[in-house]
Amino acid sequence: MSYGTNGSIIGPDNVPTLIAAPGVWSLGEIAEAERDGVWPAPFGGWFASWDPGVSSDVGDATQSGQITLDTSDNIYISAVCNDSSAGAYTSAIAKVQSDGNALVNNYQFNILESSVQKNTRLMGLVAAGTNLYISGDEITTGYAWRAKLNSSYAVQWFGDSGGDKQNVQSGQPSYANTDMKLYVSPNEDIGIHLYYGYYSSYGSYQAIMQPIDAATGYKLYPDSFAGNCYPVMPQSYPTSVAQYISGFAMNTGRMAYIQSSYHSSYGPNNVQFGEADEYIWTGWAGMASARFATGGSSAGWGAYSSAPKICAYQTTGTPGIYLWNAVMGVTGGTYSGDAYFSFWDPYTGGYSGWSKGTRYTVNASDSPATPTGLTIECPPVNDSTDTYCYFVLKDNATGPSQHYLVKHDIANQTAIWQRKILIYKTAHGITGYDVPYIQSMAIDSTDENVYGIFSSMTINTAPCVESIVFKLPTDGTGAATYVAGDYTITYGTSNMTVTSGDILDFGTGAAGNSYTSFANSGTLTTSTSTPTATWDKA
Amino acid sequence: MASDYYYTTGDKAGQPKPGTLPAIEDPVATTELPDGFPPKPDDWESVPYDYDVDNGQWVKFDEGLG
Repeated sequence: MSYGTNGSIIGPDNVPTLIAAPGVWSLGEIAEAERDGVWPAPFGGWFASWDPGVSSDVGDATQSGQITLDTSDNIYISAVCNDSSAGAYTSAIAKVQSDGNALVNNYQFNILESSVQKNTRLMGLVAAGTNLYISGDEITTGYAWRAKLNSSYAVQWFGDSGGDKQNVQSGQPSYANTDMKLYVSPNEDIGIHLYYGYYSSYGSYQAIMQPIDAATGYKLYPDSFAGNCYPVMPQSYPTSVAQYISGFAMNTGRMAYIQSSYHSSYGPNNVQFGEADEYIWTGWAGMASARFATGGSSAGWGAYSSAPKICAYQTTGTPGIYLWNAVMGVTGGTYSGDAYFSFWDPYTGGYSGWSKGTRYTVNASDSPATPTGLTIECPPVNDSTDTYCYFVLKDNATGPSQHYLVKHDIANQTAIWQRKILIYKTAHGITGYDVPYIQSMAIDSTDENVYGIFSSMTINTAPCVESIVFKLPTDGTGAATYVAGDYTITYGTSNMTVTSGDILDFGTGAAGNSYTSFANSGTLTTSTSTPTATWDKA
Repeated sequence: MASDYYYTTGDKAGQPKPGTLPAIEDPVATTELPDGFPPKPDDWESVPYDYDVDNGQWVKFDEGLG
């Protein structure tokens, strides 16, 4: 279809694309472009309900949903499947059509030892290049595991040179979750495997960050470097208090972590964070770790965040690889209940180089319930130019608990738009205990859509075998009510109060050490099957 | 743009420059809990717990959420 000549006097004819129509247009030309679906872009977003078909009894649940996009923007999702009556766990992994109309495939993914299926949970799904890096744990005896799959889910490597089971300490249980999992650099050179386990010398559970060779899965220390690349274990004071990492990110050159920390002299609860090269070349000794409180720039210790999240900048090179964004719920102090965004530039500011702080305050009138605070369970994501950061906040109501998707302008410390997401079972209405969680989101290579998966859902007081998957345009369009399978999803404007201003108060004295007493053991294998999944796109 | 805090070229690229790291603490390993903490649950070694400082109690870590 050719369009009528533009009404312009100067310059060539203008040609519309899906996202732009420059120049001067007559009403007729606009009508032609709309008729042909050329401009403006038709709404390409969707919500869908996914039941991987693994568990189907009352009480069964699908948990720990993950979503990731490879370099061709193929969409992969995963979840843990819990058969509650059998007390059994396994996992599912699937590929989704970009238009959301159907699944491309759907697999049950099992891990076996001596041909016996183990109680394993797949809680890490990271695409890099065209490969998938997966990780999780086994919960009967307690160990972490990691593997690399190709796009057909064929195993490229599993485990470590020393064995397929990963433990913080030999003979003691270790576990993983959606934060402590395998992370991989976008260029697939290095990975860092986070897992936590009981460490008898401290009498508590401790997390470690272990650099690995992403090409082989082998630990860098001591396999590749006998005197470098030590795993790092952040610590509490005293060490008898458990330590878990809630936020981690890495890019093509560097890594960063952030967590709630206990220290008897600092709060005692505070936020500990740190940054290093992706090899963690000099271990704890070279990691720029410090602490902050969240009560105000000179408020001292007391306010903190129980589970802060962090994301890496997508810009490669220097200083882009040094830059990070963090989002966290605030506990205690003047800003208790707010969610807080902050930008960290250690390249020019060192450990205290945090700025562009912005608070989000829940607005009870946005919700059918009466929330009083916000938290975050899902790491934020930046667009390709690091202009905008996208994140999902969760309010603290339970009947229902509502989420808020935000497009945040980093430099200008404002929300470009914010949208509430409310999920409930259509048959029950908004009447009960409705609490979904979102622990994973992604953005496509063109910055046109953000993606996420709600899982670990308790709706109308009952656990659910379905997850709610979404693709939503970054222009904020799509506000409507959607019905996906048994679920109704309301997506619409929210009105959280947005206030710019830095609230962090910094301190040194971070605690941790390089850790070399980890253990690798055993041989594991994998198997897949193809259960009948249910995918309902709204 | 050079960094005051990191080497960005040469063999030490990515490593912090001397004197720019914040002070850190050497851990003092102990299995003794701080004063005032509730006693450890019986399944302390097999089940991960986190300390809820606001309510002064142990809570199972990551239960049901993963």
